[in-house]
Parts: sequence; structure tokens; C-alpha cells
Amino acid sequence: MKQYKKYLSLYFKMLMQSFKTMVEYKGDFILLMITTIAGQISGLFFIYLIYQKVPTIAGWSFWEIIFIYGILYFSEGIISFLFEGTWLLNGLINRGELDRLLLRPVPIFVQVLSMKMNFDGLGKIILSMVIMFQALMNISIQWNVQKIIMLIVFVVSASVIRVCLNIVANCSSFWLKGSRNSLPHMVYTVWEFGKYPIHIFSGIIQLILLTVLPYAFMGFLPAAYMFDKPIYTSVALVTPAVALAWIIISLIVFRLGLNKYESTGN
Amino acid sequence: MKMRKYLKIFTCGVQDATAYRGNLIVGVLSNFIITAVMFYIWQVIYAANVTIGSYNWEDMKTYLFISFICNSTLSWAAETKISKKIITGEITSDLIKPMGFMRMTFFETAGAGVPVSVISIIIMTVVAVFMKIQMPASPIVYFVFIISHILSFVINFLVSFICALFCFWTENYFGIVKSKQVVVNFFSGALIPLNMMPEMLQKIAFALPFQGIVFIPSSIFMETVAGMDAIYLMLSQVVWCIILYIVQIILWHCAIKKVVINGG
Repeated sequence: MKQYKKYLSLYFKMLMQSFKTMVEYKGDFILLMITTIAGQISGLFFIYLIYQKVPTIAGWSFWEIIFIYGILYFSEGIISFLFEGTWLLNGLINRGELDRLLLRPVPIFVQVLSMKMNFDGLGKIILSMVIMFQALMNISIQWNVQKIIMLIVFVVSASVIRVCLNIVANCSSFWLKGSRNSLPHMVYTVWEFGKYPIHIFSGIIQLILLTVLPYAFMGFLPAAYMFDKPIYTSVALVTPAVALAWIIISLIVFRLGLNKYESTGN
Repeated sequence: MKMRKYLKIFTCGVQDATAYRGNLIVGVLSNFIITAVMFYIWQVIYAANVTIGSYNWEDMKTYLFISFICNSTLSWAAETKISKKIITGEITSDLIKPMGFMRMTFFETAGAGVPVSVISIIIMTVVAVFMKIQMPASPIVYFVFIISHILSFVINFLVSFICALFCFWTENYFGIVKSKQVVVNFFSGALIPLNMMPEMLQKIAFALPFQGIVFIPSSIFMETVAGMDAIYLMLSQVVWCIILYIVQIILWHCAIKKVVINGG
């Protein structure tokens, strides 16, 4: 237990180092903050424009969709803020830089994940909380204790699933080894599907969103539970279990990948 | 300007992009995902409405189809490459080459765009057959569209290049490339057709160069504009190319004095 505490404090110390490098480039840093907000507003604006034309999408109102967006966006903020290092994995493998990390007496998992911090992640987290709050205020929900607890459970599980999925996707670099790897980016892009109620998509896409790329658990299903939608409410309760399963999957895949790792040598 | 050396650079660009074929296809597919999502969303919306703006469902399908092709020529990798050169100082090795930096990067990027475009067109042709997307019948439309599409690429490139030059001042690229993408996506018509936007935003969009990237070529392909109007729109694309070219020259002269090379 004491050991884990040490790793945790180390984790945040390493993140702070990367924060320092980030604010070094002030111009770009400020621009990135502004862009993040502008990008989200343009995304939300698209949904707004759609709802100018139609009252509901497949039985879902404007604010309900906004809520899905909020949860998904929260998990994205968590990735950028705490786990941005995952995205560096490809470069580390390709250039053989993982050697350096393997020599250190700290678990490699901790080292890789804490390699980078994107401070705009904090902006995303705050923004997403505002979005979720606004959405919940504008929807009439029958609140009870169970729902409040579940809301927290859902937000945490959604973030865990997203982070683990991101790790697994980036681990593909262990096998693909190219100097560029677009696969993780593609997996990331699938979140566009997660933003909307899944039953508007065709059967195969729904299946994918529920299994291999579980974006449905990161926004849609929690929202379905919160707003008492028929059919999906019971499925949503599996979310914490799915999160647990993905933690195990990501650990196994990372371990397998590491076994596969061979330095580039020079 | 001797064309041969630039042609060589162009082929290098093509080869560089095709070196990792799997990667290339995956890159195009991630673009395709966004279009696919849009497709389903619009499908639901059109199930309730017959026409929105001036488009019916058939028009919208064609719009999605063609905006995908217009939007995929400049990949994320190609865009960040210019900025990375500036930041890492790799630009020095290009500065001593006997060719203009802008021209060289232009041909390199154009070369990299060719295989991406080819794959996009192949994917979309398959989709078009399955989705029964209406295609223009007259060959002239295709011809005019291709010219407009090339102009769209030039505008897109120049905008990216100008943004990349700002890296001389910010010394990092992520924020710049991201903001460029957000703005271009919104005002080019890639997110929603410009004629569906509120009046105010439409006016802004039509005063900016970005509409030449997606909206103008798409309109030409869909034959919503024809005859002289199409010519005028293409002329506006040409004018924007010239303006952006001049802006680029001015910026370059300011920027080159700022070159900071980290180590050597």
C-alpha cells in the first residue's frame, strides 16, 4: 500500500514536470486553451442547429443529447489531463526510447502514463461539468439517492473505460511498430458515434459500440439510465463491471505488448 | 522556375505517403467515420423533414459524399509536418536547398495528398453505388469540379502554411494546427452546408477564404450553381489564392528573421 502511495505522488510530480514544459510555450498554450473551448462550442452549435430543424432525434431531446456529450467530454478531459502520455507510446517504441524507462526502478506503466500532461484537459473537465450541470438543470428528472450515486458511478466508470480503451489502442504500436500509427486515432474518432443515441445507427455499429469499442457505455447508456429510457436502462447497470473488465484488459494487453518489445538498438 | 526538381519532390511526397499503406488507409477511414456519423444523423433528421435549407435528402447525401472528398486531401500528418520542421529546426536543411521553401512544401504536400485522395475516391465510389447517390450526368461538371477541387487544395495548403509560419513565434504547433482545423471545419462547410447556417454566420463565412475549401467545389459538383455563377465562384477561389499567396510572402519575410534553431 505504501508503495502505491509513493507511485501516486511520483505520478503527480512527473505530471508537474510536463506541465512546466507546456507553459514554457505561452503563445501556443493560450491558443490551445481558446481552441478547446471554441472547438466544443462549434460541436455543440452543430447539435443546436439540428434541433432548430427537428424537435427530437429518435426520441431524445436537445438537453439529453447535450448530457451525453458532457459525460463523454469529461472522460476526454481526464485523458488529456492525467493520461496524455499514452499517446506518446508509439514514438517511444519506434525510437527505442522505452529502454531508458525500463531501466528505472518505477513501474513502466506509471512512467509512460505520466509522461505528458495537457493542461487544456483541465479546461475540458471544467467545461464538461458545466455542460452536464446545465443539461441536468434543463431536464425534468425524478431525483432520488440512487440516481445521484449512480451518476457519480457512471461518470467515473465512463472515464475509466475511455482511458483503458485509449491505452489498449495505443498498445497496438507494440505490434505495428511503424513510425506513425493511425489506429489509436481511428479508435479515438469513433467517439463521434458515441455522442448520439445508438439506435439511430445500423445493427453492426450498435454491436461494435456495445462490445469492442464500448463508447455506448461512456455516455449513451448512463444517460438512458438517468432519463429512464426504456430498454437500455437495465443494460446501463453493467457499466461498472465493464469498467473493471477494461482495466484488466488494458493491463494484460500492455504486459503482452511489453513482452513483444524489442529495442531498435543503435 | 525549373519544374523538374519540384516534380521530383512531388513524387517523393507520393512515395512517402504510400510507404505505410496500412496506416494511410486507417487514416482515411477515421475521416470516413465522421462522415458516417453525419450520414446517420441527417438520415434521422430528414425522416422528419422533407427539405432543410434548400437541400432534400438526396442532395444531402451527395453533399456528404463530395465534402468528404474535398476535405480529405490535407491529412493531419501533412499539416503538422510543416510546423514540425520549423520547431525542430529541420527547416535549416531545407533553407539551403536550391528551391523556395513554400514551393517545396507545396509539392511535397500535394504529392502526399494524391494517394489519400485516390483512396477517398475509391471508398466513396463504393459507398455511392450502395447508397444510390445521384451523380451529375454531364462531363463538364466533373471537369469544372476538378479545377475547383485543385483550387480548394491550394487554398487549404496556403492556409495551413500561413498557420505553420506562426510557429516561428509560438515555438509549438499543437494549438495552432488545432485552431486552424476548428475554424476551417466550421467556416468551410465541412460541418454543415453553409446555406443552412443562420444569416449572420453565413455572411461571415462568405467573407472568408475557407468556403473555397469545401462549399464551393461541393456546390459546383451538386450543380446548385451553374453557368456564370460557377465561374464567378471559381474566380473568387483564384482571388483568395492570390491574396493568401501575398500574405504568405509577407509573413515569411518577417518570420525568417525570427529563426531560432535549437542546437545544431
